[in-house]
Amino acid sequence: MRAVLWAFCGLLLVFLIAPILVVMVTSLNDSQYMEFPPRTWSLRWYANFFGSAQWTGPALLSVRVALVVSVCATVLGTLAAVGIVRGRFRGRQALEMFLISPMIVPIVVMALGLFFLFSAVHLLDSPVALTLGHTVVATPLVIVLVRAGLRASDPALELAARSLGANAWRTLIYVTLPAIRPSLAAAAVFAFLVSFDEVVVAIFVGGPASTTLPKRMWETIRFEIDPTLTAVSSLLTLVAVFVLVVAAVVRRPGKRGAGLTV
Amino acid sequence: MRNEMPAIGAEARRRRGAVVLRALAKRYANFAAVDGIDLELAAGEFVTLLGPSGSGKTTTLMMVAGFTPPSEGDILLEGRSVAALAPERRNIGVVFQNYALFPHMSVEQNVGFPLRMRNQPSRTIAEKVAGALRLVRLEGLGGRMPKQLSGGQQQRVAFARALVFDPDLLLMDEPLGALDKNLREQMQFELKRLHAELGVTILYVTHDQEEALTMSDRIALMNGGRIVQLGTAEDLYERPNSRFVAEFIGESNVIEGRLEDGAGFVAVGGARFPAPCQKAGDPTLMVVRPEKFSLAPPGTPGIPGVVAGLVYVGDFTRYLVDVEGGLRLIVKVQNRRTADRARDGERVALRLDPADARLLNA
Ligand SMILES: Nc1ncnc2c1ncn2[C@@H]1O[C@H](COP(=O)(O)OP(=O)(O)OP(=O)(O)O)[C@@H](O)[C@H]1O
Ligand SMILES: [Mg+2]
Repeated sequence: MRAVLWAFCGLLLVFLIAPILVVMVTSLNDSQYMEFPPRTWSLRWYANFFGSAQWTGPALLSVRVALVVSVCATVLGTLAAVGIVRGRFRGRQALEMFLISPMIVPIVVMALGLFFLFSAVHLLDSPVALTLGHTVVATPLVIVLVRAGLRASDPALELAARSLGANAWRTLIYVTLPAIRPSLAAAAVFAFLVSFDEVVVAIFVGGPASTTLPKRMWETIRFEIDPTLTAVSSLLTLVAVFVLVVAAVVRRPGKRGAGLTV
Repeated sequence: MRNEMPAIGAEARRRRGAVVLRALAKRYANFAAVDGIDLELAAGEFVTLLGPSGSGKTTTLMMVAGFTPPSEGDILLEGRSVAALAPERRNIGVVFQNYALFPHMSVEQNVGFPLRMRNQPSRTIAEKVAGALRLVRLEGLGGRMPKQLSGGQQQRVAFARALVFDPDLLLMDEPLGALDKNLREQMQFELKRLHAELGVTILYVTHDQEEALTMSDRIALMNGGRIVQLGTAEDLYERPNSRFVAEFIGESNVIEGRLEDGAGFVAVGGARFPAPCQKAGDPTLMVVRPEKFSLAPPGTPGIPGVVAGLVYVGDFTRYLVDVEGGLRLIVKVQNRRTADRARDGERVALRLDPADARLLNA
């Protein structure tokens, strides 16, 4: 029985990971054609990626946009989550539904809406449009993650802080947020990854002057078969894994808290 | 050498923090959680709110702390109304049942938090934190995180944190509720010591009556959002003013009947009890604590009865004694001499000093 379970899990893992492994191995090809398994090995497609502004430009843009999105979405989403979880006001639940509703709207519909919106204000094909668009996509995710963290943290902590002389703002800054630091870190990481991976909004509101890495990949596969794609894919996967590993390490509660100094 | 604890030490002899709750009430949509409470705490007094679950103890405390706005009434601290003040401006220490220590701060940072919020210089903070940790006997643990402490140690940190800024009043909501019995008794002792040393006014909440009886100067027994009786432990135990109090505090025989001229108190079944007064009138209940009875041989003066069961508890024995009319009484007798003990099924006479019985109007 155990053996069957292990075998099943093993198969499932292979099934999930195999495509990624195939891409990674193929990226080490020396041939013009994407052969699997490669007959000769090289890093030429990686060199091609790093040597070509065609690729590094979009890559840098993606990173910049994702960083800004991560900050904006985390700040906005956290404030919203605090209001939703700790607030006591009429229409709180309706507001909560409204704020996380972008998660259930099909991304294409969202992208189309953003396209019309940004074309009306002449922002299409700009990093600003990408950043705003991705923030809209990432914020609900942040809200959901931070909301979970807040619900799991003891509201008595905040009452205690108030009784000890902290006003509402200082309570938020010195107690509420630090107490849910793991959720905040997770939210920031996922917001970054959402933007970094995002392709639909990038295609709709981006253009020649604002091409992100995923958009460049999509365009490449449409017009040519360039093995550089496999190198890019491998790099993207490695970046995602790296970010998640760093996040996991950061989330482990340290021995000392973040030194609180006033 | 400097005083161990400058701020608190200096205040120890100055009793302060008189509190007045005036017609305090909290009403929800169609329900009064607290239904008009009047309570005065003298400076330095230890008063406990005791009562069954849902009687409004926590709600009262939360209103005093400033977390719940009262629907009616006023709260005076040192003669000035604090009802409109934000919690952080009331200078009231609060200890919560689950400690509410900040998980991301070390013990020192937790205890220093109220001082940092008061913008005190870091040297003063370090001194006061060290003093407060010494006071609760946690020297040397300042660098630990809350998770690395036992429940009792966490509770001490919570005490230190609530005391270090020299509050006028300390509120505690079942602070020992999460501790096991042994530790709880030890902490009760510690708390009394702290109270005696610091002279701070304490408003304490518990539903453990033993804790209330042993720790408090006075007890306010609550039920249904009201204070049903306010007094010392002895007042509540010896002179309950209602059936609820008699049954909530300790064990009681509550006997229904009426007072008859010359015949004492006649229970519904016909058994006659000596009464503390002779005048017939309204009272329809008599309350007798089980240990007020004593057992005598049958035929001697007293209320005749039959032992219907007994439990030997070491220093005393609890008897069930049936008297006339099927009335079953609980009787507690100290096991001072073997000769005093009765056997199951034995006929006995119950002796009762009329001064030990209490008459109530329903
Ligand atoms: N926000 C609220 N809305 C409606 N009713 C409430 C609210 N908060 C408390 N209550 C009710 O008020 C009553 C008193 O609650 P409170 O917490 O003060 O009781 P308590 O004496 O502290 O009980 P316990 O011993 O169980 O802690 C309860 O019946 C409770 O259900
Ligand atoms: Mg309570």
